[in-house]
Amino acid sequence: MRRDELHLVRDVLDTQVRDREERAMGKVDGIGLELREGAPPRVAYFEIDGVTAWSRIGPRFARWAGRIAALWERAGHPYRFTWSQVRELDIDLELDVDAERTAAFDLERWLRDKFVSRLPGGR
Amino acid sequence: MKRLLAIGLGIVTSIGGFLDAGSIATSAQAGAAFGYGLLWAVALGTVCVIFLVEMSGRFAIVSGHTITDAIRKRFGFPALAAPFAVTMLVNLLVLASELGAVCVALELATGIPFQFWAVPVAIALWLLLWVATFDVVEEGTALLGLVTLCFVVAVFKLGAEPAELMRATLVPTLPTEERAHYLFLAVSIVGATIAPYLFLFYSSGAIEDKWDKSYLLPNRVVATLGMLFGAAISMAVIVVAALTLKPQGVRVEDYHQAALMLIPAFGHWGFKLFLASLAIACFGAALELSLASAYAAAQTFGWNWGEDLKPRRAARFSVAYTGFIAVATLIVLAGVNPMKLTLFSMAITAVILPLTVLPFLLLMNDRIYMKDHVNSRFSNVVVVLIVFLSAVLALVAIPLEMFGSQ
Repeated sequence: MRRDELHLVRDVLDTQVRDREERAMGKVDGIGLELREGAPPRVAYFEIDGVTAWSRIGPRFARWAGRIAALWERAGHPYRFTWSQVRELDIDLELDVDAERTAAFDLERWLRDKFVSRLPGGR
Repeated sequence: MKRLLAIGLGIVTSIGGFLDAGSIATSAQAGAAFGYGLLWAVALGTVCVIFLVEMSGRFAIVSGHTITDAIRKRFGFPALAAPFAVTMLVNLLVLASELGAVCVALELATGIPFQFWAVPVAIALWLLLWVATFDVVEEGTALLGLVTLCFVVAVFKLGAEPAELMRATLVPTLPTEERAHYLFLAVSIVGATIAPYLFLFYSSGAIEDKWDKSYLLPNRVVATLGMLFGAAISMAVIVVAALTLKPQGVRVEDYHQAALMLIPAFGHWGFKLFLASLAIACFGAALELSLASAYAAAQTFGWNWGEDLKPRRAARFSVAYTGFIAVATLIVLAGVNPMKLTLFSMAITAVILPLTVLPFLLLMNDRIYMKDHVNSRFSNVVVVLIVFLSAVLALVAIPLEMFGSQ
């Protein structure tokens, strides 16, 4: 892929995001632009956030998703990253982070603590 | 050598995994009510599913994406949301059908009503997924599933007329009575044959097993032969029902009547063979369905997924199939007639096919993903024709069946 021809929507939005150990963190659910006076808009951040994804369908879906996500969300939501954290973009987008330490893993952690580890074989 | 092994294993898996509650229920009813009259519907569905399975393997090999992943990336989350929600809902009904069928087999074997079996069967299913690896799940159930070949043996023992079978397979006919029910069964058979979970499951397996381009040919062979042989078993069920149940005027309203169909061929063993086939085939399908649905959820939202991952390493994925099995179990516990539920789910499957198949076909023709391996015009036309024809017919047939013109 030629990097000088990156299309935000075609190549980045909805792409699978992985951490440096290739753990699936989520998808690129949204892209935030920064509007600047006297200069063209600039990409400020990318985010992994279910509520953002549902808000692309409609505000009501976003509200429902938000209420459900409140169960497991801790501080730091939504999870946002910048282009400088991207290690590679091929089929998936790989970040130079540890997924466990990010808000993108809140649901994963919550389910692991509340359910998986309490079941036999889930340690 | 490795490829050859993959081909052999792939074909065995397809044969052993082809029959499920959908194909057993629709085929048994079709044979008992219309003789060989609906063999063509299996043939039609099989042609389509061969194309679709080959495409889903080729897509995974060339693009490196699973289908769900790619639909989201290419068309965006809003475009995936509706097909995803509908597919999950239908998968849930189908999973309940499969679980229900396993429970009925156990009821017929023990005399204990099927609802009592729902929880033990669900727990066994969940435990296998929770502790076993992908290969064990797939190959184990497929090998056991070879017991369904007993239907093919029965066809030979009962001495079906090959010329007649061939004609009924290639030439669709319309009966003079019960046309609405005939149409309903025809679309249910097509829905049972082209189960979308099948090719979603297949493409996830191809990614999980890291197929590269050297698998393009094995993929084609496995898709074609595996589905053909699998379909032969499905057809054998129709033929056996046509030869044993129809002459006695047995109407198959639930599995109790269907279970009698192998007795003329095998004596009292026939009953046991039918129960074993039903229980194993449906249990295997339930495993695949639970996994396929959890794959779909994980790939839609970008979670860690994979049957080889410990539940701890893929908590969202594992909880997804756990919840899915739990809800399906509740449906079985509610005591719905499993065979009625199955037929209804299969007809609904035919209705929603275009929702999943259409975006998939667009991807198969997209050079960004498929490079030089895009679809031929012929395969596009075949799949579009069969899928849309079935959906339209299903939309007509479901209300007719439900509100009855008979």
